Amino acid sequence: MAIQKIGIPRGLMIYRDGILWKSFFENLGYQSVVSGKSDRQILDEGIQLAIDETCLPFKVYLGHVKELIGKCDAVFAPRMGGFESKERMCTRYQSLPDLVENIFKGTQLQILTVSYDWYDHTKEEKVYMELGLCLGKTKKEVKKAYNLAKKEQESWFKSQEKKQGKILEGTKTKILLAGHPYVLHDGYMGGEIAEILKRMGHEVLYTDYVNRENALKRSYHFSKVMPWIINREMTGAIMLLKDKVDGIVLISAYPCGPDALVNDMLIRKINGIPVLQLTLDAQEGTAGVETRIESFIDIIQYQKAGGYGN
Amino acid sequence: MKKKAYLGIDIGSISTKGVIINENKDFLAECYLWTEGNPTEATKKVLTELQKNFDGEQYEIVASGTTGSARKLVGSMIGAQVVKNEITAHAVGTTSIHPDVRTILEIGGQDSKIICVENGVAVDYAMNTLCAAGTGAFLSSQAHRLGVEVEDFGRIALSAKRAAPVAARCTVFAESDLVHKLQVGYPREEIIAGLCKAVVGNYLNNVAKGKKIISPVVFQGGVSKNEGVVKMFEEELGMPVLVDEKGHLMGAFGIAILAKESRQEGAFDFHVADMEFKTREITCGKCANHCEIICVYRDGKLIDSWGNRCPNGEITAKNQGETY
Repeated sequence: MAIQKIGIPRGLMIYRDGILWKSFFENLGYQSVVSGKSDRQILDEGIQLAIDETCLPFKVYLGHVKELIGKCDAVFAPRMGGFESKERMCTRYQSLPDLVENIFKGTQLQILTVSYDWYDHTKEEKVYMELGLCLGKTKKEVKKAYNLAKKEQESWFKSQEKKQGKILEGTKTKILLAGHPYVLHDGYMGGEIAEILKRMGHEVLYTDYVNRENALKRSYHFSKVMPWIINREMTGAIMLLKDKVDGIVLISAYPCGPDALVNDMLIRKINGIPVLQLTLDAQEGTAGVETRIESFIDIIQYQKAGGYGN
Repeated sequence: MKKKAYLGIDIGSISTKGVIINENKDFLAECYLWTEGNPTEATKKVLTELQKNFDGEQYEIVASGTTGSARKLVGSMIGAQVVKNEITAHAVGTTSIHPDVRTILEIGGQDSKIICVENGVAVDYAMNTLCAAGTGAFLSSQAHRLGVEVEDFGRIALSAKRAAPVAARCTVFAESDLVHKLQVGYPREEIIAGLCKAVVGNYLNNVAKGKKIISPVVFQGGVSKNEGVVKMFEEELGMPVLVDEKGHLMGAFGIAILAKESRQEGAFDFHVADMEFKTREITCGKCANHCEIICVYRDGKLIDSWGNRCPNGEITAKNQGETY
């Protein structure tokens, strides 16, 4: 059967490269279908499909894949070992298409993938070329589709960077949310934390909307050996912004191996600014999170006021 | 004219505390009792107790505040002016009595926290995250297993020559460790001392991880009444650990002060203790999130609701009927 509709699960690296993916397929003449925003039902579906020990974002991702079944002809699940240099991604990305294929065995789900790996000196452009040729498009068509998509992704990213720069100039209380993009921006995970902060009237900034190259470079001041690129970008962004914001919220989804190591090191090493560490699990209700955020904001505001009763 | 007084109620998972203070932050009345899983009933009892010791001829309550995990529920029940988290309430209360405090350790029934203070204001805090290992509930369940009253734990622990090594990382592991220690013949007091030590180890390695503990240290919460844990803290930290006689009331005291400082005043009537409060949980079906919404009714009338993630939930709550 010829592929017409390509499904993109709203999870994991969609918050970093989603525009590139969507635009790439559309430029090649396909229709793209992105799954809906995360909610309890998507999470519950994912929990049923995943092994118990895996992380919350991966469970959510599986829920999104499930939602796409029947709504598209193929699902795009990229394999990401690492990008151009020596930094790596966590093992879930290295094995993503295989995991999805095995978990959805028997559903006749067709999977499209690309395979980035720094080890083979793979360039992003090259893997998308392979995918495009596989789909029966010409070299010229694929090249054009990729270039356009890449441009779109980058200009969106630049606009986020700019927006954040403006917020930094403002006078409201500024809270930096630090974590993996798919935790920070997922409606059912970090999205709720951002909502709580905004409802209280504060500005929210994100570590993944900071210039990536600068953040990556800066992260080497923090650690020379840390292998994971996302954690590198996150720590680098914290280093770059920590003197410009009023507080940092480290958000991690349970259980995350890289975060367990990196966040522990961060709370020991970041000085001079209030840091709140939140670990999200598949719990119902947001009361615990609200108490913690409220307490954290109180600390920042009473500090600014110079004491209680002022 | 009557003199002004302020009411503070701290409703925790295990115990409910209430205090009334005057303009000078002196205690006029205080009360401490078990929540027993029913925050509205516990609050009514606290109010009845407070009223007995309160001089209503001379004083009048002009503002009230609530804190603790049931602060919202009880806040709308008594019409509190201030509803605030327990971290701020504890910091405010403790710094009023100990202006020089630098570190507040707190171990309660189901949670534990650390608050770092600088120049009389909290600068940092941490709370236990996903699990309640090493809290009061943990000690109670172990006491039950050993057949001793948890109130006697401290005294028994102090009588031990040494502390048996017990893993307190997780209640389940601790329990199997404990059974093992009993079977191989450790004396009971050494195991109890080991449990106290494990609580301290667990606290320092989890909640207080990465936090600088600076003297003066004040230790609060129900577990601070356990002399064994206090001694283990002093040994581990190598500094004196102060336990205030009124330490268990600091949250209620702090929120009473915040009510006073809010400068918002409103009528308060002990009569709420006689009113009927009902809560019910409804599941909003307007989207796939299925939020659990809590509705509070006073004498059958809906007075408040919460738990919804979006405005649709408010409509759901209203649609359930204004009466119950």
